[in-house]
Amino acid sequence: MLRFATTSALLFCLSVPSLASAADPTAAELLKRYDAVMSPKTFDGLMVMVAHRQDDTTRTYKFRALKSQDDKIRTWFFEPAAAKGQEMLRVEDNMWVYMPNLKRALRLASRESFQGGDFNNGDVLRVNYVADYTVKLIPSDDATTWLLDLTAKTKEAAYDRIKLWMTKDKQQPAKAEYYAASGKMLRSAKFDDVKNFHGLERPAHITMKNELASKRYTELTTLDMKLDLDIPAQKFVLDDLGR
Amino acid sequence: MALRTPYFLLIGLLWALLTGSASAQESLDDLDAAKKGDSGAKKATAEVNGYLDNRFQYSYINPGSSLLSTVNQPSLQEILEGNIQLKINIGSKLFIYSDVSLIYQNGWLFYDKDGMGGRVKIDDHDVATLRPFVVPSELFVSLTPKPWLNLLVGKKRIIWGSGLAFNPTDLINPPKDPTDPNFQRAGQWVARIELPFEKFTFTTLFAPQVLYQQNGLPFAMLKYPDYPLADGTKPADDSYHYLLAARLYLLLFNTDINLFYFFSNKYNDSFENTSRFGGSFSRYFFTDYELHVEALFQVGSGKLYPNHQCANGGLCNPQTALFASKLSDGNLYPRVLVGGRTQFRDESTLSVEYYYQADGYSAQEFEDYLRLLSRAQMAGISPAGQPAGGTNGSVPQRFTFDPLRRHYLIVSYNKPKIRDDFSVGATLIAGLTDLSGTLSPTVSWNAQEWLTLSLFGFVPIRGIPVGTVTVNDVQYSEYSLLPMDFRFLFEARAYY
Repeated sequence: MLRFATTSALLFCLSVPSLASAADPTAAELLKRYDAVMSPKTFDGLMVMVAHRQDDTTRTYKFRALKSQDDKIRTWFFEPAAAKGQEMLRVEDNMWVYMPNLKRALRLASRESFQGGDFNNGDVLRVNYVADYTVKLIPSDDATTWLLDLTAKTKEAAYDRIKLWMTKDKQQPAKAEYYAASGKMLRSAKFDDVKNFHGLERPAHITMKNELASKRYTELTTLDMKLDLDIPAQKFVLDDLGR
Repeated sequence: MALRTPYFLLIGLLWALLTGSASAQESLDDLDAAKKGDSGAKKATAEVNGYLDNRFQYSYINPGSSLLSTVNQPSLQEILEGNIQLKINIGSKLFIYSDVSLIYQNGWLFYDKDGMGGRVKIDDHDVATLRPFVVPSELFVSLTPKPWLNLLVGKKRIIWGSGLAFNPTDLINPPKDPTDPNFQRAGQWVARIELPFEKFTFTTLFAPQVLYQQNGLPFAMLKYPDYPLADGTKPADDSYHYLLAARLYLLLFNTDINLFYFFSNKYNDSFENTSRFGGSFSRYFFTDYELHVEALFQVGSGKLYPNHQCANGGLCNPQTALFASKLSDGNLYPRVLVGGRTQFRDESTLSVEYYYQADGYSAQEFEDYLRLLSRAQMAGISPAGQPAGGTNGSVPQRFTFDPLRRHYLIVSYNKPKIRDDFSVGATLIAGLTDLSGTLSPTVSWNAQEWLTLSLFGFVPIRGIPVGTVTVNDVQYSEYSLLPMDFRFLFEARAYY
């Protein structure tokens, strides 16, 4: 126990100078960078989500996501056929899903599962970590990354705590761990396949593993993404869902 | 027993649509190119999807348990539905949408009372509500000339209230089946103007009532024709039957708020030139708990009440002894639904709703209603306007929530991923006055991404002796009136 404490203290002391280096970004800057990469100010994206389940089978969802300048997001589902016509909308802390079978929209919670996969609604529809989390740098176990420790500061945040690794070279997210208030790890994510989408470099592929179910994980692939769009505000109102 | 409509016609039609609708989009340009020609000019494009659904059900018909006739209630029923949802985009501002179902159905194995407290099989026979028909659940044109203006004409299901299983402010659509949301598709013919803005939306609509329809297609709306129908049916009146509605939606303090105003004349009830008001509210509290309230306020009630004298042996015609006696009594009869919904960590969802209708039957009125049914049954007739499930030009329903009394509890629980593709759920509808109700358990298996197999149960709970009403030495509760002991339904739904 004493040896562990001593080693930890030594590692911390060694890492402090690098954290404090003038050339290095601050924790707040890195978090802002994460938001800019993962959720640009406006975008129109085409994405595929593949959910790998406990029985080794998969379910594939294809959807389009549109983000407004004032941080609203709307999605349209094209596949599978059973989900075709479904739409989702987030305005501030409010989320709705439009169900074509019901011909109406229902309210959703940020922490509910996104289409039954291993992402939750907040992971996809509410990527605004600067607004939702306080952040500090902590020592990373990987010299090529910075490690950010995020703690929820709003009740709408998707998780209570996140550990987020950002690469030092391109300041891209590399991996993340998501925790419940109890400290239990709920999910972990790996970000890879960095691509250039109309001038924005970002991971095109995210793998989200469900840490509570041994074989379950979900892949989210960005097929295309356009940026800097001028979208009518009415695209992001509840009554436009289903049109 | 012979099939009236060959299956292969429906299957062939759907197969043709299925094979013709496949398309792949790998980039946003692919998607946008579908709406614009190479030159960027407007171009009409079509999107098709839908499903083929087969429902086969067995009900244990128990004529002795109910005062309602069972002669037209089949024990075995087959419903095959081919659904086509077609959206034709004409540029970015105009589209035509149709959600049409072709339904083949038939029923077999009918029972009636045997006169000794049991049941006796009667011959299979033609039942008008079991014939094949077409259901245009939705069929409308939508034009958005400006981002803040949407015009819509046609048949559409428009739900404004926040209730989940039931919407007391829904005066527009055919009633829905709270035990199965998939059956809540059909809308009403409307002309609608909607002004959507960032924080509020104003909507107004005009809905003429469908007075006659054939196979789901209307041939008289708003006013009865001056002449009788070919079968001799005479026009019921020369009034205009319509509903005008206005609604203001506000997103305030992370809350959905709706305010409604309705003005109707003989639209699905007996109210003439009458105003009604309503409102709804929905918001998440403590992150995970959704709370909603929906209320309708009306002076007088369009509900049908039994004639007390007639029910108790007075001289009358039982066929006309149910009538809207509180239509203009000047009393306020609110209908209020309060409920909540949450999703647990295991992704199961629970919703609980309480419904109160001030114009529900009192104990005396319910007893009169039962006595009236008893008299009608002995006379071999059905009281006009008798509350019962029906098709109303919509997809056939397993159950229509048409409550008679005043206090109800609706609880719905669904647990997905029991194993990866299996879900279980149950819906309980309980009348709190006599503790009778229905329980509808469900097991669902998403066998493939495009195929769902489900097994539904439907069990009337006849209640406990407290609150029941005794007529002719038999104790009745509201849900003991359902003329069956249980029902199983197997459904296979293939999406395309």
